[in-house]
Amino acid sequence: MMRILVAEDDAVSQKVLAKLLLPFGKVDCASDGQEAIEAIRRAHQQKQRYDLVCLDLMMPHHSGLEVLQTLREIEAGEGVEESAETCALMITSTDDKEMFIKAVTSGSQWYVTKPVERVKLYEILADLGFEPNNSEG
Amino acid sequence: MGQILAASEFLQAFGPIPRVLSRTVRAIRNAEALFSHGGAVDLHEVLAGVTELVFRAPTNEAVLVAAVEEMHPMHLDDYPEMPAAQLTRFLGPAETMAVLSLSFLTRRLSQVCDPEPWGILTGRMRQQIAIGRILGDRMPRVGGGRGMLLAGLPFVAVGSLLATCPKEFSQYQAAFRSSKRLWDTAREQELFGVSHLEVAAALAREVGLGATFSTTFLPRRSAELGSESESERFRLIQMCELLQIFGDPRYPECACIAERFEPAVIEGLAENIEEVLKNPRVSEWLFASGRDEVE
Repeated sequence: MMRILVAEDDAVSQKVLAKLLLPFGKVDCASDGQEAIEAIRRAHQQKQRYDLVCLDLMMPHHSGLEVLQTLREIEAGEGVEESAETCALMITSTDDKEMFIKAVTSGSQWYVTKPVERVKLYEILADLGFEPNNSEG
Repeated sequence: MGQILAASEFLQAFGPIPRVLSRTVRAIRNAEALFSHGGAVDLHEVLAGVTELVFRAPTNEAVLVAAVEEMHPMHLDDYPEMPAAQLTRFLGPAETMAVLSLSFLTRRLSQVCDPEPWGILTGRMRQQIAIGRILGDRMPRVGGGRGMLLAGLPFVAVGSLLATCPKEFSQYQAAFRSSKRLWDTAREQELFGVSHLEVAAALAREVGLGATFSTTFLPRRSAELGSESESERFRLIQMCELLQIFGDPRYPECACIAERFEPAVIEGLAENIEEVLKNPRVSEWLFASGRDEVE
């Protein structure tokens, strides 16, 4: 089963996103950047890496970009090839040019602007090769 | 029966696809999706930003300059004063993706393919890429850049069959040389265990073009068109059909074009395509090289 991490400090957005992603697999949630990094480290230690992480760009303690950087460093340390690396969606309420460039050149597979609607999200995930396990959700 | 390999095994002919290439292609698509509908952010500035690294490599830069020179010749006045990545504004996102990925894949195959059959293949490929651009331009939901990719990737995929199984490839060529067909996917299945279209689909995903685009090359399910991405796929499939028609040596006698496509799509096509077929230097940007190859 696909493993997903949603890192989002806004409780409502976190809940909505987690519900949207539920048909794709098992969803863990983190409420800030520190929790997200800990969850990622734990998953790697337990050899149960996430297939997908959805990172809010602006979070307390560590930004989505910092979490992404840590994730890619852990993967580089383990010699993970690009085709096997965890897919990262950067989720943000800003469509700032510099932020976008920084996110996609740092290894985020897709940059999504809020509000994250179901159709938009599912199309992005399908394009990245993820299909829901069932048609509900 | 030749050796039976999976589509992904033919990708080994290209060696490892550099992370910078697939990331850049994906970033270009992402930028196109987010910023092409107007708004405060200038798509061209974003495009220059996400391609800056990849166009620092002298060979990629040379390809970019040659592509702008061929496809948008009026815009080179300010170069080389402006950074190479700024030239992407003249190509736009899709043509930039096409130029970047097709030139990279062609370069890699040029290092491993038997020069004679590869030369024949690339001769046809250069024409078809230019034709694909013309056709794509006439289909707004496809566009010239995706037209180039739809036309070029199948040739690159055939090149991987040549590189991986040269012996089987000579049988393959001999089988349909007399029939004047461009490809014979049934024969490919017999000889290689895959068709070049399956390899093209795998290749498209590998370079970051995404699942929606890559499945265009696979057997269709166009009856279930509903969502936005399915209708995009449908336009892409139409485009593939057009390319097959123009790949047919009986062109321009193909009456079916007029029956199946809107008049605006076919108006003036014949003249434009004749021009491409007569131009011996078409799509030469594919083989442009820089001071040294950095990949």
